[in-house]
Amino acid sequence: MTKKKSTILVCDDDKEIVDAIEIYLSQEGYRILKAYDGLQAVDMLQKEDVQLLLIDIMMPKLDGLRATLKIREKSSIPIIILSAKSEDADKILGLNIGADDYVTKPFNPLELVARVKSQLRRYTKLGTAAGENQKVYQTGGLIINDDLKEVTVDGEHVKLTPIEYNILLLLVKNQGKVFSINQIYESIWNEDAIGADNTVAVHIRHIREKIEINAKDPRYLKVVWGIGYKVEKL
Amino acid sequence: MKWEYAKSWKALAVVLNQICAVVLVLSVAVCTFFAGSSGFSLFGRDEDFESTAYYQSEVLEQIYRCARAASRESKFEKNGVYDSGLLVDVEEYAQSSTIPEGDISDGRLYYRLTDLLNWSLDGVEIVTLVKLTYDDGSIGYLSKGSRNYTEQSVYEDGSAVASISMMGGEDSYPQEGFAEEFSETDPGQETETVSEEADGETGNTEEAVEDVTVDGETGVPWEDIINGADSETLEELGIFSAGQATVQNVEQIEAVDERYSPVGYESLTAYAEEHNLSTAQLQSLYYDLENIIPVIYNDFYAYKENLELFSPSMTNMRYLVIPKSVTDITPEDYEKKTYTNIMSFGNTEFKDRDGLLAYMEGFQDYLIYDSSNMDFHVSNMPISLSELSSYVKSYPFSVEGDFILAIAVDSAYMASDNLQQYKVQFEKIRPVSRLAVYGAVLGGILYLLTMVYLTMAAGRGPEKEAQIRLNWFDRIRTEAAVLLIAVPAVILLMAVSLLSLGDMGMREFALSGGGLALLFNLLFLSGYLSLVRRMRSRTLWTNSVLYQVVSCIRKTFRNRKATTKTLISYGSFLVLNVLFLCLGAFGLFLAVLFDLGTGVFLIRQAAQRQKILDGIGRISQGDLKAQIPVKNLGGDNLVFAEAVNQMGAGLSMAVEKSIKDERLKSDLITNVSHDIKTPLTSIINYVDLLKREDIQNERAKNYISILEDKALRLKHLTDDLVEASKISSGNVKLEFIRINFQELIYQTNGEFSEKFEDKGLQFVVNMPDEPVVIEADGRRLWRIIENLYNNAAKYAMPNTRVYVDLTTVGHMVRFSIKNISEQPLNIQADELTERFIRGDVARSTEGSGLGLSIAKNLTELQKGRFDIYLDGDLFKVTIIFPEAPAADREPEETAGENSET
Repeated sequence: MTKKKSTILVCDDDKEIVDAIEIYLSQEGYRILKAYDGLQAVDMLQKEDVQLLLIDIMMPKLDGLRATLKIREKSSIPIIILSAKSEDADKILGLNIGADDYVTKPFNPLELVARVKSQLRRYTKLGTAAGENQKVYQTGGLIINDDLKEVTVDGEHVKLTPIEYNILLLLVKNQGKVFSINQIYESIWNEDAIGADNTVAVHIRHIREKIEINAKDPRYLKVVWGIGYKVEKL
Repeated sequence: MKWEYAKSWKALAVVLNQICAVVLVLSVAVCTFFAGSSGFSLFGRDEDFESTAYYQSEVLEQIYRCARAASRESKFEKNGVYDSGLLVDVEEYAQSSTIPEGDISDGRLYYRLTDLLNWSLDGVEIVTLVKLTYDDGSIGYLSKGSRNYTEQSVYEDGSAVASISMMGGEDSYPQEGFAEEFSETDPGQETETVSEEADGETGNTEEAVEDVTVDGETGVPWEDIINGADSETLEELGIFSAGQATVQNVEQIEAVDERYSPVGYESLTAYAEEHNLSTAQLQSLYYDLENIIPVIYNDFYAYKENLELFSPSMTNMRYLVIPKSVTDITPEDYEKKTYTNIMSFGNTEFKDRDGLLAYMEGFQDYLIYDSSNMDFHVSNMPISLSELSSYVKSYPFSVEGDFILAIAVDSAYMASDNLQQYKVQFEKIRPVSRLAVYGAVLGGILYLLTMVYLTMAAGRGPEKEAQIRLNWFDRIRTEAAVLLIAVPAVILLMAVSLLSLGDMGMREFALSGGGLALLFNLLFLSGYLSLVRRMRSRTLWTNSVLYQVVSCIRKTFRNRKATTKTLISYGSFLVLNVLFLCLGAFGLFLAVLFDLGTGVFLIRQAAQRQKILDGIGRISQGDLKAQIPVKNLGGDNLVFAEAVNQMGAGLSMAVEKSIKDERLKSDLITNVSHDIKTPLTSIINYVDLLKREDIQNERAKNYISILEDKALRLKHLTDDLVEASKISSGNVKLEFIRINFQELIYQTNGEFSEKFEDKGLQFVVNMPDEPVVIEADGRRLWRIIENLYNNAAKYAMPNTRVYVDLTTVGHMVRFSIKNISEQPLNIQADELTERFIRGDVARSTEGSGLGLSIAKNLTELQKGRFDIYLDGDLFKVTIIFPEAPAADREPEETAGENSET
């Protein structure tokens, strides 16, 4: 983990925010470069070896979206957009033009650090995840090794109870498919879901809290309200 | 510059136009006259007056009249003078209308001419004569009643219209008509007896006849009375019986009351006795007599008139009738031997008939007819032999044997008759007739050309400006201008009718006619050009008094109330209908037309109103941009439609503005919240960093935790604020899918289980077994339920139960959540959801206070109902959604896929 410190470029026109982020990420041992507008960020990326970019949208000279577009012409480094714009439309736009993650301000510093770590792991350990001939299921950074009964998120082990594990395995095996509470109950407990209550929902919430960085804004295990649950295919 | 409209050109055109008008009028007058006399055939030819159609037809007419006059003259003249002692043969006159020289000895029935004329003046009375035939062969006549002939009028050609009037009918017997005629076949003693008897019986007769009359009135025929009566009765009747003879036969004859006796006889009956005439013969004589009396009277007076009309000073026609028997005629005795209107022969001498005829042949136009061999020669006259002989037959000459008729036109034209007058006019016109033809054609063309030019130039100046120039005359009221033109024009026309070519020479005619034409054309031109200018400047109608009146009426009418208008319209409709119906059949036709027109008008109005109604309908259904087409609307409907259009436009603008305002508000809040979030990020981050510092001071630690708390709350508030403003302005996109409400509740319970457990709250969930499905946006519905659960988690009294109920009532899904509030609810239910809008002062310390507001707005956006019920500490929220139509496909699908795994 400490083999080589990754370099992260933080770009925001608000200097205090850049400084705060620097403090948090430095504590994790990353090298921080700072830029205060889009042009500066693009320039720095050309000069320096950067592994991840944190960029604000609303900035002078060149805004974050344009900068991202420009950077994506040459580089495929992880880009996390950091913006006060919290609309769905803004998030979708940002992700569509090439960003890998979208964090809205004001953010929880710990969440931000977690997301940065997640993106870096995926970027640096790409393709090294699965061994051969093993029952391994993967979506994004979530990997389930059914032989070892082991779950890792972005390379980090996650501890799950057997029921939680089975539920997650069911959902990951059928990525993108929505399971209702009754279906999950029947396939895990192998009995009719006559008195089905909130047991399944509670388990799901626990799984979310374990595998997701922000349980309220899950990346993998999503709630389809009024219908059921699913694991997103990434 | 438009040089063609320069003043000088216009003036020239006006002068030319005037000249042309004068020429045209004079030429046309001459041509009309000439065409009337010659029938167009002689235009421009130097022909004589005698060749004209007028001359030909006039002469033909005169020949006819001459023949008639000569015929009459031959009737009434003997030896060249009127013979008052003429004897008229009744039968002859009745048959051929001639009065040949009579001889009393031939036994025919003659009357004296003077007697007949007087008789006609006295009046002819018709009486009924009863002819009694006795068995001894004797005959008696009894006159019974009378009728009066009254002369009414005499026409020039001698035909009389006589009307018979019954004078008192058979009731009043005129005394003189009562004379009893009696004659005996055997004259002598019996005659005396008869007269004696007649005298003696007069008184009786009167009575008797009255009785008879009474009988007659009761319808008993004469024959019955007389035949059935014995001699005494007959005697009483005054009918001679004498004892020796009885009445064998009774016949009635329609007779004339004989005031005048035939020549040589006492009476017509006496004549009949003597000549032994049958009843029919006597009757026919009476008829003849009755007929000729008025005719001969008329004939005679026509003759008297003709003497004057055909005197040489009155006519240029000459006629001459010579009996064939007369051969030697000299200027001295011609009058006695012929019938003629020739008074003198000038210097012409002649010794015999041929010489006289040669004189007639000396005239330019003549006609000679010999009745013996129907020899007919004629100079140039338009008459055929058959025509002439038909004249001669209808007006035969009272001449013994054959005769020669000669008629001629005296080409000296000494007498002032029609021919002479016409000749004078013709002679005046002839020299200019050719000129007139050219004048009419040329003048007409030029007149039209100048008219066209002036019409084009009227009101236009040489400048290129489009404005029409009006003079003072064009500015006066249209009606006044019409009067100014029309009155002098009418006066001029009246003056024209006084003009006559015959009364004046060519020069005077040209001057006066030309002058009148000039004035008239001047009037016409100024009126016409003014009309053109008015039309061109569109002031013809607007400058009229009528227009002022009409527009005034229209204005007052327009400013009335709708009810008054309707009343006035309906009233005038009724009044007009009544007026029309008073006009009779034509009025009925008018009324039908009028009513049809009114119907069409009403239907068109209704159609227009329908358009407006359609427009209003569209606007009221939300199409605020809809406009009523006002193209074909009029009157009130137009006002109506425009008002509606304006209202629609106003409404549309207001709605647009309000939507725009909402958007702006929402955008403003969003933007402001972005600006707040940036510093808030720093606050939260640095508070967090502060927390990580090793701070020993407990108070400082406490402060930091408060800062963190409030910073997070601020974050929450801004998020909620943005969301609330978006939702309340409707600025969210919803994705409706079928949602299983029970599933959602389980999911929510799972999410909130720990939160509730922390507070010791217990769920009590009541749901139906079968799935409850609604159509909604899953994430928004979750947001609603989440807010309600959050509300309960925050404000419910710890260690109590929270009731969640889901029921289906009809087709509505009803979700409710109840809890006991920890704090007293001293607030109105609606205030809880409208704090954002109202900016209420009573804010809670926890949360944004916007949760319920967001939940309510989201519910309503998804067509649901959101009710808050407060009762003491009981807090209850009910949400009602329509149930989704049954289509239970999804559960089956998922179940199927489940079996795969």
